[in-house]
Amino acid sequence: MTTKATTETGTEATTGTGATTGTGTGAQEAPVAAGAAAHADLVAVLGSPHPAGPDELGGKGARLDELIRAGLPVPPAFCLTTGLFELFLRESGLTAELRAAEARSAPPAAVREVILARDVPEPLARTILAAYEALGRPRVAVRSSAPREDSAERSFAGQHDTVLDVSGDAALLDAVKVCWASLWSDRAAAYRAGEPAGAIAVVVQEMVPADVSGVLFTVDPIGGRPHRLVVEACCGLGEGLVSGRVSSDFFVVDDRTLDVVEERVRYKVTKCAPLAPGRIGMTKVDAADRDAPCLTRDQLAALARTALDVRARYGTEQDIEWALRDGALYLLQARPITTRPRPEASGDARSPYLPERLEGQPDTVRHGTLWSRMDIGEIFVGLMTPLGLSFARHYQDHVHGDCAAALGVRETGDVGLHMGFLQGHVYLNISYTSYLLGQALPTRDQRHFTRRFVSEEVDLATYENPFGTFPGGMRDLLSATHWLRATANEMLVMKGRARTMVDARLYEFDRARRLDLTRMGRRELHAELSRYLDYFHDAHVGYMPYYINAFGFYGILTELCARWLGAAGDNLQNRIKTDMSSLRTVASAQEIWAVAQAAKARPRVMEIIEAAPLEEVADQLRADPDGEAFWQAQMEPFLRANGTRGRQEMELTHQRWIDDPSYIFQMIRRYAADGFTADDIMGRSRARQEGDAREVLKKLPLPQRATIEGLISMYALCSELRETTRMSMITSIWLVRNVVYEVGRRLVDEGLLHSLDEVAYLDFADVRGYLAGELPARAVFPRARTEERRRVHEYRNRLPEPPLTFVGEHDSTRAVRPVKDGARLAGLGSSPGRIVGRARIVEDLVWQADEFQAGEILVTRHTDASWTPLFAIAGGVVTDIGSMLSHSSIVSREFNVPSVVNTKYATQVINTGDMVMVDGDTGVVEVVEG
Amino acid sequence: MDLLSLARAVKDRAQEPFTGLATMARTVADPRLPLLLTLNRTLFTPSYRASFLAAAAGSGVLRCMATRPCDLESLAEHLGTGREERQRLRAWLDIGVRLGELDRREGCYRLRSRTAKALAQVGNDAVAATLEELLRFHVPALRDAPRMLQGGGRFGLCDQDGLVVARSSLVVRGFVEAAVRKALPRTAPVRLLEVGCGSGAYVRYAAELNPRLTALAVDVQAEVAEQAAKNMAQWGLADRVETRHGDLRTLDLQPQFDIVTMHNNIYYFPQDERAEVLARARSLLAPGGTLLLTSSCRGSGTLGLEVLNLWFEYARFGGPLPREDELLGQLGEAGFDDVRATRVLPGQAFRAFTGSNSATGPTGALPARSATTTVERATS
Repeated sequence: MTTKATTETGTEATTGTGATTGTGTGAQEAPVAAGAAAHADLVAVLGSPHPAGPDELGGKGARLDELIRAGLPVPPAFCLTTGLFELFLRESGLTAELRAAEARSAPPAAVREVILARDVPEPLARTILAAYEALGRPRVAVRSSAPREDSAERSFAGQHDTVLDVSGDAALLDAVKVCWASLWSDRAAAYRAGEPAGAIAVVVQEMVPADVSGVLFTVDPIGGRPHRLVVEACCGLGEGLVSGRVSSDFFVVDDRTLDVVEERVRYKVTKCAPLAPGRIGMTKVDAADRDAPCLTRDQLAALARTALDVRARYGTEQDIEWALRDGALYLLQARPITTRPRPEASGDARSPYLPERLEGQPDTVRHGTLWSRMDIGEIFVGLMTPLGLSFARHYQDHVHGDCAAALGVRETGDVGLHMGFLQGHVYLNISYTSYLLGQALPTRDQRHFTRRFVSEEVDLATYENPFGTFPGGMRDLLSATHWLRATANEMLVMKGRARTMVDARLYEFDRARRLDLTRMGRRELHAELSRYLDYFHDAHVGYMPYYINAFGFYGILTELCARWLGAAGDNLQNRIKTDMSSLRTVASAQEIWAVAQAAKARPRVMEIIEAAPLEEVADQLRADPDGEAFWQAQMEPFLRANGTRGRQEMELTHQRWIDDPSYIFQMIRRYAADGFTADDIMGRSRARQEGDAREVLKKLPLPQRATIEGLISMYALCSELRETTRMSMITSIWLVRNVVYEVGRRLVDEGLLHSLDEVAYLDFADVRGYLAGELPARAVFPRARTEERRRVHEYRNRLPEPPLTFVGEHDSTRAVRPVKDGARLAGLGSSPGRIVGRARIVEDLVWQADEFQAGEILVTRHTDASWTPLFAIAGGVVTDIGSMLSHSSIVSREFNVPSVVNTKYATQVINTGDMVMVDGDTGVVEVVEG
Repeated sequence: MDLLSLARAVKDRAQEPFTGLATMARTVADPRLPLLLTLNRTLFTPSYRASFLAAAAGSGVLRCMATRPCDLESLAEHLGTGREERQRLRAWLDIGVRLGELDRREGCYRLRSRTAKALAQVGNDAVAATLEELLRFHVPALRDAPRMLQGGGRFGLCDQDGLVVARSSLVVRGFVEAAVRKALPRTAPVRLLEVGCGSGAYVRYAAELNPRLTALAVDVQAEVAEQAAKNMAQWGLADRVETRHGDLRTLDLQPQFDIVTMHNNIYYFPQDERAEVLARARSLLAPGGTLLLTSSCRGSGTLGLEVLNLWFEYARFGGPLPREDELLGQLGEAGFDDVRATRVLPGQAFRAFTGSNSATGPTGALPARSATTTVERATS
């Protein structure tokens, strides 16, 4: 994202270009006025008669000129032609200087500085300001318009700079220079690859401080379905949409009837908007607007009609940027769509099998495989970026097989079949996995493993594993023996391995914390990445047995409780508490609480945390003596213990707490403000039900009781070790992330990425290959491939989420299952208890953490370990996605928070502020009062 | 005729008739004679033998004769001497025969003494090199010390034949490898820095022990580093081991290493700089990383080392061999924790020193925050 903001007052006070100071002196007036007249032909008022040709206006300027002429609602604008730019270079004496600089291949940054430091000569400044005057001196957006700009490139994210929300003479002249200088931006220079820079025009257009903005494609850009206008809309300025930082609504309109045939409204927490004059940034969407669609049906119809008008005029499919302000529609840009929809992008998206694996599979496998993304580790759940997906592929190819082996499975099969990918989501091949797990004694009967994936989409009664059952005979005997030996060994070494993993984690963390990757050579970075990937491998392989064994013991426990205790044993397994403090994740809430207390004890520190903008809290603390002392004494140890947490951790693009501690400060604010005691947060677990769980057991005959108690302690131990070693696993991902982002930074410097956000569109294998080899970055990361991945990702982001579990194939274009009506939702009760409270939908944890009131019912799509601090103060938890043993379920049980997961539609049916009843025993959620 | 010759004549030719009885009487009565005879047996002849054997081993003559008896021709060819030098070569070889190391039969020379045969074996090359080292460095140190004190001369790097040092240091190879085996984790990924990598043999050894190890091998001599890089390529380690020409004192590296090794080179640094050098090595270690330093030490009673030490005393560079306690002190001074010295074999002068870097100073700035550089986030 390239937006820069210039403040009116700031620049006028400090830069003083002198361009506006000459007006008072009579002696200068005459020549200046004459100059303005002389250069007036170099400024074109777009849509009015002017002599400038398309080349002089640049791509963007020429298109806007056409649109205005066609009578379309485009905000008024004028264009400083390439001729004016050339005149600027001549008059200011830069022409020769630049020629010399290009001759000696001066770095682009140096050239930019030369231009920015030069004043706009008086006559030229007068010309520009006269045009600004004629426009009415409004707030404007200043955008560069290069003659050879890629027509497919979106202006929101172009190669050249855009300065938004500019007002005042001095600020305007500065913004113009920024655009001129952008001809020598690093990335523009990278595109030219040594050719002369040429010239650049600048468009100055009235700024539309949009309420809603977005893009419209007159043809389905990737799916390629006919007669479909695709609209994406977000709150605020369109810049937020392009950066992918805000959620957007999605509409599909039939171009024949103008009916809305598809609509997906998302919960919109943030938008991009002018925060103060000249300052563009992220801010919250008003609570009332979050659930509502951005556009009304009428607005959609009006937008569609305008788009059809544009398409008819040009006779080609168009990609249109638009904005709404006070109900009025504006077109900001329209471009022909040059890239045709690719059928493969939509066609292959039915089966999760890797294309090369799909080919050889018989129909029974193709149509009969059970796929699920439930319980495959929350670190995978949800849509992943191309980078995240390619990293998941790395995991599959290099780590997953060894993880399976670590479970005592003798034959680990073809790792290419273990996992699949659909619409940017990662799936586990349940059929193949359960076939292989047939080698382990507890899962010889596949149903033990498969049962958990029952959902209303999948009927296990009719499901038959296309891979069959693991063959008997010698292979079976060998496998069973192997499993027994491996499992016996695991029981012996599990505690010791966990200790080693904890030590190794701290060592790796401390080491990485002291490395400045920016100062490492490519070879050194290669060594770092290899090391981290080795560590990543070991951490995952080491973690997996705890994870699966916890599942195993839980399963046996559930079964025995049901068999021996009958009704009295219902949910017993969920009532059992392990010792709270032993769960690492739960401890993270405890530790935030402790940090919050320490902050409260230092008034100066609390003041900074409360008052500073979230983004600046860390810097302000570290600049303050008290703050720095607090940082070293409290924050560093906290970050060492918890800092590598984040959401959906396998997704490399997600920042971890240590990368962006905003969430921690939000929680400190929360915990400090509400005056909780440690017991409020930690003591909740001891309150209820522990007693009667034990009572029930006393009724059993001794051998059965001993068995159950033994199972309980093994389950508790495995859960504890799983929690402890999970930190090693996610720390290893953070380490890999650091190297990938360092490569990203270098690519931004080289101009191959427009911003760090675009790291999301890299392929992990390319990053590895680049560091291991000597090819220039340009050859490894061609821009076209990055763009292509961006388009695919944006397309997937528009699709409805694919199901958690399904058999065979899934057609993403199939009509979406309608949302259930009614006030009653059935899910899985994952933590017992019943509570009534006000609901709060939380879509964006970091942004909304401070809104959450203690005792409210947390309603969200899915959670992971990073939500723990919020669980500690929640009255209840309801999620769309989840299972009995997902991390969030375990943590809610530990906090004794009633919880219902896997409701599928809770976030759509429930609204913030509704009074809801959560019954964690029966798995029912009811809206009591809407 | 000097006194010694006379004494020999008396001893060897006692049976022959004397021409001058008076002379004989004078000689026998000379009180210095017994001393001379003793010295001849205990000092002179061994010196001749040592010199001859060192030269024969170093020039490859021993190895040549070990395979088969050689005539003058083939030996001259092996040494690459010109035709006119044959006579001189024969003179030298004949002394070898005279000393009993060689034997000549039918115009062919062959090994005779047990020592010569032993030194000729490939496996004993390191021992032969030690003998050579003794004569080429130790002897000059002892012999020239007073003269150097008077004249102000000093040994330089050029006085050291790197090849000989490299060969003789093979004697301690087993010890170094034992120390590496003990200090190196086998399965966890390891990043190693070897300071003064020489041929790179020890890096190779470590890389073979741990297949995930990556290393940076550094040597202060450009041609040595170059050769090491070639060796790495030949050993198929080029992708895991980077070789650089550089000086530990000026390396600009991030503290990325789990282990830093310095094998047999601490005495190339002057004594008063060692603590600083070690601190520098520590600054390149990750917190919790290990330094492994191997060196022969003074104070073990090994005479040879004391003499080698004397050579370094008289050298323009470096300093004396370390004493165990003194080096332990320097390691402590450099900030190492858990400092210890281990001897590989009892009675040996060779020590492996280890120290760990557990210092946890304040951490650096926050890692650069990504993504949110241009768009600010408003807070409520």
